[in-house]
Amino acid sequence: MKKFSRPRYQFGFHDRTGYKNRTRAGLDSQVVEQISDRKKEPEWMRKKRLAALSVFEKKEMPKWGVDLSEIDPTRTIFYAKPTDKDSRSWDEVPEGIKKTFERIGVPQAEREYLAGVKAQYESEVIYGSLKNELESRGVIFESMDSGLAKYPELVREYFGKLVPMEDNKFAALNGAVWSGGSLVYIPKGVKVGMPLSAYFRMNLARMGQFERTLIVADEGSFVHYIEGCTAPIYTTDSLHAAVVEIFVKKGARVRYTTLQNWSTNVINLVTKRARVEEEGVMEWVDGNLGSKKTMKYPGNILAGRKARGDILSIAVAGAGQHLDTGGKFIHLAPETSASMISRSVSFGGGRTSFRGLVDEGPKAFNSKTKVRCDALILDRMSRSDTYPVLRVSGRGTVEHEATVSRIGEEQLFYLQSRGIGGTEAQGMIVNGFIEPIVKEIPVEYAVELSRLINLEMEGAGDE
Amino acid sequence: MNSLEIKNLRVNAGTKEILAGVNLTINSGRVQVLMGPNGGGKSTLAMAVTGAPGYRIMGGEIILKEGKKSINILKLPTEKRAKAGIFMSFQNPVAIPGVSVFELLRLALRSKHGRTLANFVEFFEQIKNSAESLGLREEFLKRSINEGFSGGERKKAETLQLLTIKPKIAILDELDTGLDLEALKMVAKGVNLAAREGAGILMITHNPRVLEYIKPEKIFVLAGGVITRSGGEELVGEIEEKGYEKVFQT
Repeated sequence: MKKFSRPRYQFGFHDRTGYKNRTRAGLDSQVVEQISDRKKEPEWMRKKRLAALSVFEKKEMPKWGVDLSEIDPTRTIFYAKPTDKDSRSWDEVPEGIKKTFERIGVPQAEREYLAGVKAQYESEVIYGSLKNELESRGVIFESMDSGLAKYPELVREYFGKLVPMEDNKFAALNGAVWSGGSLVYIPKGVKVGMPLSAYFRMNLARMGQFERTLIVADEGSFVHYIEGCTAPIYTTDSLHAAVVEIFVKKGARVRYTTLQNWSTNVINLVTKRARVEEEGVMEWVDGNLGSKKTMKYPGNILAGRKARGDILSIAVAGAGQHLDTGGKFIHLAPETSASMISRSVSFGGGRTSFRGLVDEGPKAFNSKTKVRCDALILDRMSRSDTYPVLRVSGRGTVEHEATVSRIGEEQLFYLQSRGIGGTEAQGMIVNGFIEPIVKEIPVEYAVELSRLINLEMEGAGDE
Repeated sequence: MNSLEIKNLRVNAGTKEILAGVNLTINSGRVQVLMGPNGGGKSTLAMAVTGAPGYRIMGGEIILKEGKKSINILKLPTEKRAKAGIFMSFQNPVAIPGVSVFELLRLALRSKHGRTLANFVEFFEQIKNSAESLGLREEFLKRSINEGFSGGERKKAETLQLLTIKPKIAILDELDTGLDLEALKMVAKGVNLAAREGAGILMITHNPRVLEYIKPEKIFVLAGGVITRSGGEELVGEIEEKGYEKVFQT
């Protein structure tokens, strides 16, 4: 039995946070209108939501990628507003979870949030002074809900323009019931020195989480946005369907880092896309450790001359997990360049899939694409697949390289012969394998990631 | 005084019998040489002592003696054998991307001593000096172990591990193969130093030239899964005179 329940939900446990406002389970126009009412949204957003709902209802479930047949919208609660009151004291947090926080070195302020002691992460405390400085430079960094209230015109101009509701069933779902996420605007020429971070968390059984994030980086600006996720465990499956839209204007550079560690009852279906104008740079660092199932392929529309898109991607799939990740590049202009490096690890019966799409348009003269994906499989129960799609017009050059290796019984034996035991040795091999990508992640997250992987390997070794 | 006594060791690889009753003792502070034709079982002996997967022990014992204490290491998993003081150098050591030479040495020593090293600076200096004695620069320590290493660098990295870990017993599987003369001298110097520091060493080799730099106390010939010959310098003389092949055949 142990094989199928792994001891990795460091942050997962049921939480008694009260919900003043929540919709009933299931999805129809009444539920969507309720959400819009509670948020006191402008009329155009309400209409968008309802239109998105009808798209969601018409579209069929995707038949490729992970098996989604278990999703049951009638059992999902699509909106719940957390109360502001703290629901639990630190003393009530289980010892095991406290220990894990310690072992991976989570700061105390974050522990309280992650452990549900505080209903909201007190970003004001951590980022208070940063926020003042940002505001003085004209930077907008708001939750999407308050962003819509404060900057309706900005939202209206960009919302749904990159990921329209017709894009896919779950983009439509997000369009209908979105809640939370971030609105970020960086004015011309402003370079934000410190990463902007956002924590997301699911708080209610059978509740979906549907963040909507919009980032607009105006000409010549720079921003690094970091998104990290942890979630509680529930016996019923939780659905997470986020949409992220990023506009990289001329000469701007945006880095978007994700550390995804949803508990492994979560189905995580994310549509992320960037449009990159002339000489703009979009960089995705995408770390996927958690969730039961994930489908996520950050897209780069390279629309202007010399636009660049880079993706660094890690997926680590253990027992009961299927992580289907990758990336897309659409070259629409001359001299655009794209690179993708993916490293995936599967163990304990886990499965990883890699999908890469390269589309070289008729104007993509002298464009360049390099895709490299390496998969490491730790045992015979586990699996990895690669599905490349190349639409090459011959205007540019495309290199695609894929390797799959089984973990070295030989590598393990080598480390063991030096006195380094089985689970630590596995952790070293896995951490070493993903190291080229981890070194691109800010150091505090990289340390956490490597510790999480060591904990994972300890769990796997117990089996 | 430590020793490793291999008694009547029989080992199968798959269903095939490779070692058919090997007897051999390795004593601390001494260098002994093991030779023999390809397929004679030399590497299998090293693998069996270290506890490699895929080698089935069909009989016999391997006893590690430290003073009055003695343990049959056949019951221990590989990492515990290493902790007990057994080391082997690999003929073709595998690359582990992202795990640096330094990190490997640090963790190997932490495992040996059961704790993190107290004096990091001193430890680093020691490793740096050992590396220099093998003609390796400090930058070498930052490279991923065996990844993109030349043949010579692999052997030197194995020797560096021998010098850093300071095992009680070391089986060196063709540590001298594929080295140019200068590298051979440096590696041989390292092996002699390890023996002077107390390691009991069994050197598996094909290379008579190494005997110019390492003076073994005894030479064994392993052929057809058993020790067919053993002797002192007279056997070296005989090998030099008749060549390996003839000595193996007798």
